[in-house]
Formats: sequence, structure tokens, C-alpha cells
Amino acid sequence: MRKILSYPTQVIKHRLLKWLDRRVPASSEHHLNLNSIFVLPTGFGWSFILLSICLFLLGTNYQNNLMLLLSYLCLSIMLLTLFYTHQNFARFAVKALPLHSFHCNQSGELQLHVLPHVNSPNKPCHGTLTFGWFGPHRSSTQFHGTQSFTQSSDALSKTTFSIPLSGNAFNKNSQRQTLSVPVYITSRGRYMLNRLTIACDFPLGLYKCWTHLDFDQSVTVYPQPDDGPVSIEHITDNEESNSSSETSNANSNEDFYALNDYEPGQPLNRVSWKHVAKNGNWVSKSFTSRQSESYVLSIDSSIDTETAISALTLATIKLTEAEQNFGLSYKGIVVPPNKGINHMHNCLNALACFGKPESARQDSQRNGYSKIRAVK
Amino acid sequence: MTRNINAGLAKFNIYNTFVNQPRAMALLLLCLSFSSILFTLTAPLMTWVLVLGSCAVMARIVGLSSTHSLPTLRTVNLLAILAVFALTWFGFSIGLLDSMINLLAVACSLKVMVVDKKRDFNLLICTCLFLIGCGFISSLSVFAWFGYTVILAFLLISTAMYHGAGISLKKNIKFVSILILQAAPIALLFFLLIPQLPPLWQMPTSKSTETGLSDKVTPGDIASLATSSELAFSATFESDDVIPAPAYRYWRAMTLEHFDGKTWSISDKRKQAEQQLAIMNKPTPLSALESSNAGTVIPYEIIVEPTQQTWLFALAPSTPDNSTNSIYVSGLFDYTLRANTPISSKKAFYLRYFPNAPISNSIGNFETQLNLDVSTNGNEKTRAWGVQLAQQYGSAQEIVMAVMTEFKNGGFRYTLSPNAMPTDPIDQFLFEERSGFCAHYAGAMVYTLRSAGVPARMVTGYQGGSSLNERVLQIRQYDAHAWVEALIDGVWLRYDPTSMVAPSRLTFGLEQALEELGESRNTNILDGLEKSAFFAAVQTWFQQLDYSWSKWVLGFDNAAQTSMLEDLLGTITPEKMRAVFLSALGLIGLILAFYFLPISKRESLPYSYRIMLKAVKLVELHTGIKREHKTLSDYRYDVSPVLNSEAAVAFDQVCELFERENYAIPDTEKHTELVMKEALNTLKKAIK
Amino acid sequence: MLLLKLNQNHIQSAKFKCDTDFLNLSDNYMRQEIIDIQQALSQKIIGKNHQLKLAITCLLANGHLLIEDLPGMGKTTLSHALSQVFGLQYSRIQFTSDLLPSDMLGVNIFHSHETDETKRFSFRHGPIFSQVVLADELNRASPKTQSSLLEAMEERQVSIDGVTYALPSPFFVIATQNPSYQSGTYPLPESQLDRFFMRISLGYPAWEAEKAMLMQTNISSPLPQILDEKDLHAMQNEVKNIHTSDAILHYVLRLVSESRDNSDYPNPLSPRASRAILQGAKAWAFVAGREYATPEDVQAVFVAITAHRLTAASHHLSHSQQTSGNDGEKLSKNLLNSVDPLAA
Repeated sequence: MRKILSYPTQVIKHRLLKWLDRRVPASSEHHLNLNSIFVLPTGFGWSFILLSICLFLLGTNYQNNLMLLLSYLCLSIMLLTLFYTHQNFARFAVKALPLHSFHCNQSGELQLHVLPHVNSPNKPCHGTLTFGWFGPHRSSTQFHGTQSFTQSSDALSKTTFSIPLSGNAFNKNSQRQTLSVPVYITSRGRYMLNRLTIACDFPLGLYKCWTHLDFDQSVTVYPQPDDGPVSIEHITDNEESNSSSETSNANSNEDFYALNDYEPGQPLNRVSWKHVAKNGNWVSKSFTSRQSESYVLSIDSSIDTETAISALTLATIKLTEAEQNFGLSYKGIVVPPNKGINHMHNCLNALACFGKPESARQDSQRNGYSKIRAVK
Repeated sequence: MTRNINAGLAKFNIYNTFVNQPRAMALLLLCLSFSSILFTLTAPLMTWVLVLGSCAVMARIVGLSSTHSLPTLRTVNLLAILAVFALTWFGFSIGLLDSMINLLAVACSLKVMVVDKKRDFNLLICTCLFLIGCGFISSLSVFAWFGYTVILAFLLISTAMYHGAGISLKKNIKFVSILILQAAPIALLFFLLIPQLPPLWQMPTSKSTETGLSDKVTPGDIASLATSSELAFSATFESDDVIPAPAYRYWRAMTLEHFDGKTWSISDKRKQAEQQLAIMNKPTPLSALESSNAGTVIPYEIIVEPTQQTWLFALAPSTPDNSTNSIYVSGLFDYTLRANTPISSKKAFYLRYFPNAPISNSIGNFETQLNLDVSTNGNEKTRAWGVQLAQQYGSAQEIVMAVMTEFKNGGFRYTLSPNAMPTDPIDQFLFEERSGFCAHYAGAMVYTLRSAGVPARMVTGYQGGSSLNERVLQIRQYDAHAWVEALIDGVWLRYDPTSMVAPSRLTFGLEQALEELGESRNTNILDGLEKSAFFAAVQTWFQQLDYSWSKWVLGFDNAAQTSMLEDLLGTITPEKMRAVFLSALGLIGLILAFYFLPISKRESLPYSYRIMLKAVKLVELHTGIKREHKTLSDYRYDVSPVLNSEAAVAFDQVCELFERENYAIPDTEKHTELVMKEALNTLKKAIK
Repeated sequence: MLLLKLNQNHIQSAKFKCDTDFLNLSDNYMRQEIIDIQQALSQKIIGKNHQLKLAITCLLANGHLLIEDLPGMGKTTLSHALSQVFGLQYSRIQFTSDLLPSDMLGVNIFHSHETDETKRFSFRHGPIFSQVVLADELNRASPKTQSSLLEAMEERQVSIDGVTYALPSPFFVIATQNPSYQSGTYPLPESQLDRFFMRISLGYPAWEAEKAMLMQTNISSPLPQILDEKDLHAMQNEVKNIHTSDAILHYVLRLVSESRDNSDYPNPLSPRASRAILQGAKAWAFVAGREYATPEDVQAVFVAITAHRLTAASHHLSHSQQTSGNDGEKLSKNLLNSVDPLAA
């Protein structure tokens, strides 16, 4: 019964989303304008109008011009506030920072930078902003269609968050405000964030200005880490190390392997200072350890998939913390042994997208790489 | 008053503890506004409601600093139940309107104690606004309007504090002031252009606010009115020549034809007769007067203070000009006027005075019989005197003159504080006390005349009026008066026995009369002040203000609106009305555009900048080369090949002067502005 | 390598073109002394009038000059010629990777061969104690040596073993730097670049200019001395007294704050930079023979003063960004174009 009833609303919502896509196209940075802002009176606004009408009736019946004047004054204030509310909200400009991956059932954060609006660089937007997600986040591993809404509806979080704007003018000294909007998704996979509804009722709360913004952000939701019977196989890969070591250094137990772009957080002693001095380009050396031990994580395929993936997730995180060389092998997933933060993200990405259509998975992995670079 | 000061002190002490919390500040402002509203509504509100309200406000304010001291929800619910019982109990005695206001105030007070969510706060704001509207039912002066506007501003500031996360109070005050100033012209436009509708349905009126004359006169009533200097009404004439002389300013309100030995009242028989005649659709004498061309006609307008009653005051005989009156006025067969609905706010009525037309006996024998009816209950001496007079004199005229002469020569004294005359009041007055005021004299005279067989009746209304300016008369409550009409040869003639005793009462007004008689209307410590010239000037100014307010704001009705539009547009046609509404919308749009479109700030630039920018604009238009962000010399280099030599020289001059003015060491002697302007003019000519 | 050279050549010619743009307007009137100096200098450096004028401006503004160019473009010649024309004492320090601070500043020497009474330490002045110092190939030296020079430049004094020695006045450092992508260099960090008042590049000469140079016969003859120390001091004082109106100060402030507000500029201009811009504008106005500075003066010196300050530190940029070169100049010009000099 409920399904039958909910079907038309879903169609309407789908239409609405299509219309919004045309009207407010997805972008990581939004400067609000006439197209993207919607205004309606709030409950308070409606009661204010009702009050004005009551005062008008009272004034007419008592033939009392002062009451009429009061009623007209209230109406004029209502009218003016419409413009003030819109004017204020139209000064809001925001830019989304790339979203970090997080584990499901944990709360991720979408960070939004408040920017000076192009049209009014000196005047900021005031008031308390209310944030809420406009429906569930779309799972990008599924094709577009109505089913994506029904299936990932568990990812829907209906709660709203209120954040007051600091309202400082964008002068030289003030810090730009960063707003953190929680993202809560309950199942692993790769998601496109849904439209974020931002609303503001400044200055008098008579009107609500709101907008649905698509920040064009995708996020990989990693599986939930959990204990499980993970088997760790120890492999020795002499062959590989022999082939990879080109310059042998007898004193060092580590062999120079390759030059990579430096990433912040890598130890400074890995930096190839010669190259830095030469051309200012920061590069780090990576080495292969001849005695390095590699492990492959696997799990009995008879165990329930989700449990297995959760267990592998926990193992991956732990081994990365211990700075071990490891790989993954579970059903379709084969990740060659490696180590480091990047490797962990690769593994977690593979685990997160396991069991989703193949093409989507590759796509998501590629996106994952580019994203991690972008996060840098 | 003291309550508010105490509350204010308490507020001040804890002011610092929460000045930084916007919501607390908003609540404080709300409490402040609510208590001010309560303070202004002391008349309709019951004492216990006032006490409840102030307690609630106090509790709330204390609760702002410490959260524990607020009453719990259970307490408030209990209070609510008690309040509902109390309201139903008292509701019957205070009338519907007052109980509604009380109910609102009680609801507000209870809500103030438990305001928690945004919803509660918004509800409170709305209720407070509605209470302000209720306040206007009884307070109509310009000061009330001003005060309530300030309270409205406070409510808005409070709302702004509540919704505007962390904006400082100062900024909010500025914002709300601007908002109200911006809203005022739009509201005014609405006020002027939205049609003034007649009352849609009958509203309950407040019982306690019935003021002015009553339809029963027990001698003593008018004296109580005489202590009040409240305005009763003001009359506006077209010019000062047509204003009647002071002795002829008799504002007739009602005829009292029934006397039960003590009290004069409107006769029930007359009421019945009026109803029957109305059903028979017989034309009233006033409508007949309207259609006949009976000599001079003086149109005038009266603005009546709210009386909550229907009768009107008019120079007799006057006919209503119902085509312009917003409330229909009907003329009765005794030439008095009645409005169709009680006058609940200041209202203007348009009347036409026929100074030469007589008040004729309109219902034939009925009136004669009605006004010969002498109550046989007491007052025997007077009746005897009446019979004696009838025997002594042949004509009614002579009898009347005899009575008047008796008042003049019989040692009668005018006073506002006569002794009480509980039994046989007329006998006692005529033969023992011989002192009293208009109602005594008029009552005694009517009774005597009736006893002597002359039909007579008592008429109440106002007599006199002080002029506010040359066209406006103001009639105050102490001008209330009673006089006599006697039916002689089919015409009702006016006789004023009081004029025999205190002639100055008619010509100079009550105050003068009392002064001559060594009495004063009221014993006020401000008496000395009232006589000083400064105070008199201020008082006149306030009266003038109040009159203008009444005439232009309170008295602005359908007629005024129509005449205003007619003044603007000539005769009104539907097309014109449509144009008016469209242009009104356009005007509002224009005002909004004026407020919200960004205004260029070029006006604030120094003179040399303006001239330079003008010159650059000219050159840009002429050559089509935009300056963008080039410096002047670069731009000159770019455009000089395109310009003709004269223009190039002039432009160079403007640029050099600008440079010298703005960058070089300031030189006070040179008048660069003039030179620059000349150069600009040369440039203009050269480019053309 | 060939490709790189070619690319470089292209850039240099582009730079030259832009220089001629500047020459159009700004050089129409100058003080007689300056014209004399410029003419004298242009015997050595041919066809680089704008750069010469900037160099003179820098000297008048009492700032230090950084010349960034490829080897053999006339950096040394320019600095030598400047010292000759102004009659200043000149020394040259060739920076190499093994140059120590003491080699430059000087050392305390123990006189051991004297008698016991006279055995003592005496300070031996290093080459930095002269009025014009040419610090050649500054970015070849180790950061330690670089910073000791830069300290001396800022303080105009040198402390060795607890004793402070004042440097001569005027003190004018002309540092030359090879483009940082050449191997074996330690690029100057931006904090130190900021201490140079101006950075100019000479660039390849135009066809005619180079031809004229080749036809010159008396290359090695010294230039006549036109001014002396006193004249220079007097002129520097006059520069200080050039009038700067509020309008000019606001223009400078608008430029500086634009660089701070706009995220296009990774290294916003420091207060030291804004002071340098004003000082440079004053000196340029003096050179142009005016008693007050105008926005044109600011624009004339702006690129030379701010380009090296706006450039992002080289190691923040990728290799490709660096080779595209001159992004400081591009940023500086963008900045200049984005601010209206006439806004009130």
C-alpha cells in the first residue's frame, strides 16, 4: 500500500531533480542568484499575513483608521522583508572542498568554504543557515532510474543542521568561514552526493530563502571495519626484488627503486635533495627492501560477503598502521602487495566497490585515484 | 508607573549577564514590549490579568539569568486552567470585547513563562501585534499611535535579534528603523488607495467606554460631565462668516419628553411612534426640509469622538449629507439625528444647517399630547404655580415670558454643586434652594410650562464651543447643556432659562460663567499653569495637532478618499480607477527599486574627479576607445591621434589639471575647478 | 637543451618588446644629470635605456638591485659602469658553492710574527666593504653565504666576532642570478628575494643595438665620472622629499590589497613591498624631473619591483611552470591591469 502511494511522489521528485539539474547545474562552487533561490513565507510569515488580515477586518468593522494603518504597515514590512531576505541570501557564495572517504555508519564531513559573492564582494550573508540533504545520495555504481532511490534510501538522513554564519565582512583580516556538513551513509559503495538544501530566514524569519545545490562531489564509502577470521599468508618474492633492483648498493639494505612526486607527509630523508636543488621539483626516492616481507590477506569464501569485507577492511587498516607490505586476494579482488597510505586507499576502494557492476567499479577506482591526488 | 520602573531596575541589574546572548536579548525586548502593551491596556484589562502579566514578565526576566527559576510546564498549565475559569466568571460582566482582550493578554502572559522554541516566540510576537491593534480600539490620539509604533519597533527588533544569528543590537535597531521608515510610505499609499469599506459586520463594543451625554437626565448628570474637559466633537465650517454667534451655538442631541418626577428620559411612546412611522415609510421632516429650498444652507462637518452610542449633535435644524457620510445618518421626527451604528472611533459626519428653517410640529397632535403630560408624582407646588400662570396669562408666549422673568428676578443662582434634592426635586428647586445648573432650570421650566398647558420638552446637547482656529469649533464635555423647547403656534421655540440666571454661560462659555460666580469647574493644581501664556500656546498647539490628526487620519473615510481622488483626477470612471491602481502598483515598485537597486556613489567624489570622469566619458563615446584601467597619460597617448587638435588640447588640459590637483603639492591659490570646467566645456564644443 | 635555449630566446625578445612600450611615454622628459648618466651608461650597454633608467632609479631610491639573466648579457658591465659614472668605489664577489661568509665579509687575523706587545688580532676587511658590490651569480653560493650577504644588505652593517663594522655609504648591492633552472644553483627563498628592491633582466639586445655594439672599438675605455658621492646623497635626499598625495598612497594600497585579497596571487605583497613601490615611484618621478609622483610613476616601476616578490617560491611549482618563466612578471602585470589608477 505504501509503495503504491510513494510511487507518484517519487516520479514527481525525479522530475523535480531533472528540472533542478537544468536550472541549477552541478558545480563545486556556487554563487547564488535569481535562478537558484526560492522564496516562500515561513509559518511565521503566514501567521503574520493572517494577522494583517485580521487587523484589517477589525479596523474595517470598528471603522478604525489606526488599525488599518497598522495592518498596512505590517503588510509593507512583509513586502520589504521579502526583498531583504532575498537580498541577504543572494550574497551567499560557497565552494565545496573535495570530500574525504569515510567508513559507512561513520559520519563524513562535507566542508564548504564561504566565499565573497561576485556581485557583492564587500557585504556578507548573515543569519543562521539550515542544511539538509535533498533526499538520499545517489549510488553511482547503479544506473540512473527510480530504483536507485528506493534501494539506497537507507542512506537517507533526514536530519537538518543549523550553522550560524559569522557574518564578518570579507575584509583583509577576517578568516573565511568553513562550514562542515555531516554526511551519513549506511552502506559501502561509491556515491554521488545529492543536492544539499541550504535555507536561511534572515532577517526577521518571515520568509525562508532556500536553494538546492549540487556540489558535484562523489565519495567512496568504505566498508565498516570489523573483526573477522582473516588469513594472512606470508610470501617471499625474491624474484620480484631481484628484477626491480637495478643499482645495487652493498652497504644499504634498501635498494633505490624509483622517483616519485613528493607528497606531503612522506619522510624528509626520502626526498631527493639533489633533484630539489637542481630544479626545485620535489621528488622522493622510493626503495625496495630486499628483505621485505609481503603478506596477502584473504578470507574463506564461505563466509558472508559483508562480514568478510568488513574483516578485510579492519586488517587492511591495521597492517597499514604497522607499515607492512601486503596485498589482497578475495574472490574477484586482487591487489598486489605494496604499502603506504595510497595503497590502503586502493585496497579500501576495491573492497568498497566489491560486488558492484564491473564497469562502474573501474570507473570508481579511476576516480578514486584522481581524487586522492586532488586531495593532496 | 512604579511597577515599570522597578521592573526596569531589575532588568538593568542583570542586563550585563546576557547582553551577549542574542536570544536572551530578544526575549528581554519582547518582555519589555509586552509589559508596555499591558501598561497601555490598563482600562480594558482586569486587575488580576495585569498582575498575572507583570508576574510572568518578572519571572521570565529572572529566568533569563538562571534557568532553574522558571515555572514548570505543570504550574503554567494549572495557571491556565485557573485563568480560564476566572475569565468565564468575569466574562459576563465585562462584555465580549473586553473578555477577548483579557483572554489574549492571559494567553500571552502564560506563554511568556514557557517560551522555548522558535514557534512559541513567533506566536508571542503575533499576539503582541494583535494586542497593539486592540489598543487602538480605545486610544486614538497621535501620541498613542506614536507609542504603539515604538512598541512595534521593539517587537521587530526583538524578532530580528532572535533570527539574526549574532548581529549586534545596534545594527538591528538601525535595520528596524530603516525598515519602518521604508515601510511607512508604502503603508501610506495602501491607506490612501485601498477603498475604505463600510463595517462588514457588527462588532461587540466595550461597555465601559460609553461616554458623553446619556439618554436620561437626572439633574446631576450633566454636572458630572462638566468636570471633564475631554473633547466631545469638533465642527468645521467652510468659512468664519457662517459660524453662528456664541449665543446661538446650540448643538442639539436628543429630546427628553418623559418625566417620572425625578428623571427625564426619551419617551417610549416617541420611540414606538418613530418605529411605526419608519415602517409606514413616511418622509421625515428633515428630508422634507432637504427637498424644500428653505433659505440659506450652511454645510459643515463634525468629527465626533467615539461615544459608543448612536446619537449625533447638530445645529438645529440640520440634515445629514448621507452621500458622503461613511455611516448612514437618519433624521428623526423630532429633528434629532441618529447614526446607524454606534460611533466606535473618531468619525466625520457631513451636515447641512438651515438657520432659517423652523422646527415644526411634525407628528401633529401626538407631540402636543406627549409634551403636555405632567407627572402627578409630587411637585405639587410647581403644578399649582403652573395652573396659576395659565389663569394669569392668556397666551403661551406670555406664560413663557413670565417663567423666564421669574428665573431672572426670583433670586436664582447658578452653581455646579447644588444641594441634593431627593424628594420633589422641582418644588424644592423652585421654592427652596433656588440654585442649580442647566438641567435644574430646564427641568423646572418644562414642568411648569406643561402644568400651565403649554407643550414643552427638555432638549439636551452642547452649547457653545471654543474656536480652535477661524473655521473650527471645538466642543468639550463641559459644554454639555440642557434647555427647553416650547410648542407655540405649531413651531417648537427654543428657550434657555439658564441664560436668565447666568447670561455669560451662553456668550462666553461655562468657565467664564463659573469665574464670575466665584466657582471653578475643577480643583486642579495645574490651574495656575493653565493661565500662563506659554502653557496656553502649547495647549493650543496640541489641540491643533489633535484636530489635524482627527481630520486627516482618523476622519479619512470613503468620502475623503473619493474627494481626494476626484481632486486628482476629476470625475472618477472605472478606467481611471484601473489606472490609479496600476500606477499605485508602479509607485510601490518604484519605491522598492529605489530601496534595493544599487545606487552609484559618484556623488561623493571630489569635484576634479567628476570633471575628469565626465571628460573621459565624452572622449570614450567620441573615439570608441575605452579607458579601462589605463592611466590618464597612457589614455591620452592612445586617443590623441583620433581627436581633433582642439579637443586633444582641451583633454590634455583637463588631464594635467586633474593630475596637478590630485597628485601635486596642494596649491591654495589656484582655482583649478573653474579652469577644469572651462576646459571641459571647450572639450564638449570641440568634440561636437 | 637546444629547445630550451630557443624558448628562452623567444621570451627575451618578448620582454624587449614590452620594454619599448614603456619607453614610448615615460622617457619624454628627464633631468639633465640623469640624461647625462644614461647617455654615458648606454655607451656600454646599448639599447637598454629602460633598464638603465630602472637601475638608476634603484640607486636613487637607495635599494639593492637584482639582475636575473643568462651569462654574458652585460650584468657585470652594467654594475661596473654604474660605479664609474657615480664615482663610487667598486668591488666584485664571485659567488661559488664553496664561498664562505668570511671570504666576503672579512676575517680577524692574528699577527703572530710581530713582537709580543704587538701580537694582536686585526680585522681584515672583506670585499663587501665597498660602495658598489657586485655579487655575481648569487644563487651559486650556499644558503649560509647568501643569507650573510642579505643580512649585511638589510642592516648596512656587519658583525664579526662581536664587533660591528658599518658599511660605507652609499651601499649598493647589485646581485646577479642565473635563471634557477640551471643546474648547480640554490634558488633564493622568497623571504630573501623580498630584500631586493628591484629585479630586472637585461635580455638580448635588439638587432641594431647588437650591431652597434659589435662596431664599437673602444670597449675597454673607462667611463667618465659624472657625479660624486655628495651629489648622489643630495639626489637621494631630494627623492625622499618628492610629494606623494593621498591619491597616490591609495593607489599603492589598492594594488597591495588586491594582491592580498585575490587568490590568484600566491605570495601577496608585503608592507616592505608597498614601501618599495612608493619609494620607487618617488625616484622615478625625480628622474622624470617632477616634484610629485603620479600613477604613471608607480606603473613604470611596479613590474620591476613586484615581479620577483609575486613569484611563487620555485619549489612549489612544477618544472613546466618554471620553464614557462616570468610568471612573476605576468602576475605583476595582471595586478597592474586589474586596479584602476583613477578610482577615488
